Amino acid sequence: MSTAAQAAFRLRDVTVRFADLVALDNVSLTIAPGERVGFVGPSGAGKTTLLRLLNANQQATSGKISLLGQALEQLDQKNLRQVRSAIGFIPQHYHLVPSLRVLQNVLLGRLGQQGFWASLRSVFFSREFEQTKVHALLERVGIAEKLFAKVDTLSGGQQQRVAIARALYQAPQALLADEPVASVDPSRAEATMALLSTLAEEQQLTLGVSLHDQRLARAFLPRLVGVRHGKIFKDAPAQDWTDTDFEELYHLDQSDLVES
Amino acid sequence: MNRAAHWLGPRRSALLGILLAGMIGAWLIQLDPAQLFGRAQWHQLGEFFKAALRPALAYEDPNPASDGVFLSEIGFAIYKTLLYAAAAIGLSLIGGLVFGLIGSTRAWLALASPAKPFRVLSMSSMFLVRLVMTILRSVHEIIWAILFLQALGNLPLAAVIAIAIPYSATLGKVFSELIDEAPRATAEGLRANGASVLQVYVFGLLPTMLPDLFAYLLYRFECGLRSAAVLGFFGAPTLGYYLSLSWGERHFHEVWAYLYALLAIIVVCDLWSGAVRQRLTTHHAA
Repeated sequence: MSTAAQAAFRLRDVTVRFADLVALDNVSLTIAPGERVGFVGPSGAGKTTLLRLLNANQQATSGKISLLGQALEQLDQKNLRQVRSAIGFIPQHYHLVPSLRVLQNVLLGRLGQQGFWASLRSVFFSREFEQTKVHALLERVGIAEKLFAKVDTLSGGQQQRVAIARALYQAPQALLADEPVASVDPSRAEATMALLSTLAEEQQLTLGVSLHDQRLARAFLPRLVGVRHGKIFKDAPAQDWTDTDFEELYHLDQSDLVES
Repeated sequence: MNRAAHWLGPRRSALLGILLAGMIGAWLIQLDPAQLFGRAQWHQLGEFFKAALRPALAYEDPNPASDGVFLSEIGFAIYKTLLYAAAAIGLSLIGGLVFGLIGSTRAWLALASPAKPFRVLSMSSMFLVRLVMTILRSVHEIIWAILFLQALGNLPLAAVIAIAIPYSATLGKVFSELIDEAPRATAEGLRANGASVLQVYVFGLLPTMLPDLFAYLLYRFECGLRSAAVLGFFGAPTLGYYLSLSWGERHFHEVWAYLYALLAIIVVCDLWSGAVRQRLTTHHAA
């Protein structure tokens, strides 16, 4: 087996350019299966673009990407859907379908593994075993009683839990969360991080989380990757990150002020 | 010279241009206002509008051949008009949903592979679909009716298809705009799960579009009632058919009865769709 097949995620000299903005500049990164990695760095540094790359939701301008052992450039639409389906992605704003119920939103997690008619049957005429499965997942994330609630009646924290349950329903090999603690209140932030890292440990998922909070990052994620100006600033075990490293990572210099 | 040019300016010269074009046009088609005067038809027109005050409640000309009651015939005509409009709108909804998806920029962008030849192919397919939609839409339902009545004979299907073709294309255009303007977030969320383009459309976009989509559909139903009535002039058993018979016999009171019936169903439909729309939007906001 090649090394590419062994890594969960592997980027080689990847650059992403939007019009005249370079979001990621020649980034190389390897993440092993079961690793839990935090992506830290200032807003606009390229963390979200990086996560989207890891979910095959962002095209690279140049460079090589392999996800779950599959080289991205060789995948057709069908295989691309399979890879995406094997990676649970929790967007910062959850991106649930507001007019559907919690049950249906969680069931949407399997779309990538179903044909159109099967998914229509599953989402609108769910069978008992599917409801039981979703109920168990909701119980795991702590909102079992909301099974039949409309998503737009839930609080932000509850919606986040639905998004996590939806990602888990995919039965993924990896879990990616974009700024999961940026839009929840501080008291919830710790619980959210604890939930994500326990879930990853229990189910041996590779975990990638982008966040700002250095205390939470150090507490829950064994490996931290600092991103600044679209480049990898530092990639090291959490205990090797000093306070000075964080200060430097978040330090605003003249070019930041000019850019914004 | 210079002062004249200054006085003219862009707005005045545009106005003058339009006036001039109007005069040339009138001259070319030999529009003569004098033709309006001293005509016997004026009298008939007066008769027609006088009849507006007293729409018929029974046949004007008790005819042994027509054995029915006039009011029940109006009822039947209304019923048929509603049926034709409903069938046409139902068919257009299916066509509109399909056209909406394949006419949207977003669907083609999602389908397009990164490889350049594919991109070019999918963008040109999109323009082809849109061109077809524009052509279908720009031909009026009456023209389609004439075509299909020729081809199929005086079948209900001919009238229904005639209405459904331009309506499908119009609904398709509106739906494709709704798709392209719908918030990207839910669609992105589902794509990240590995959902296909069709799945994103049905599960992510349709539920959020539903209130707008339904409101527009009701508005089209109102238009469909008018179209169904008009197609009666070509033989469909709707209000227009009976209206044209009465008109042929110069039974103006009957004509007005049919016109009021058409007005009544359109007003009722308008009130109903307004109420439904309000319920949908307040429910949506809650």
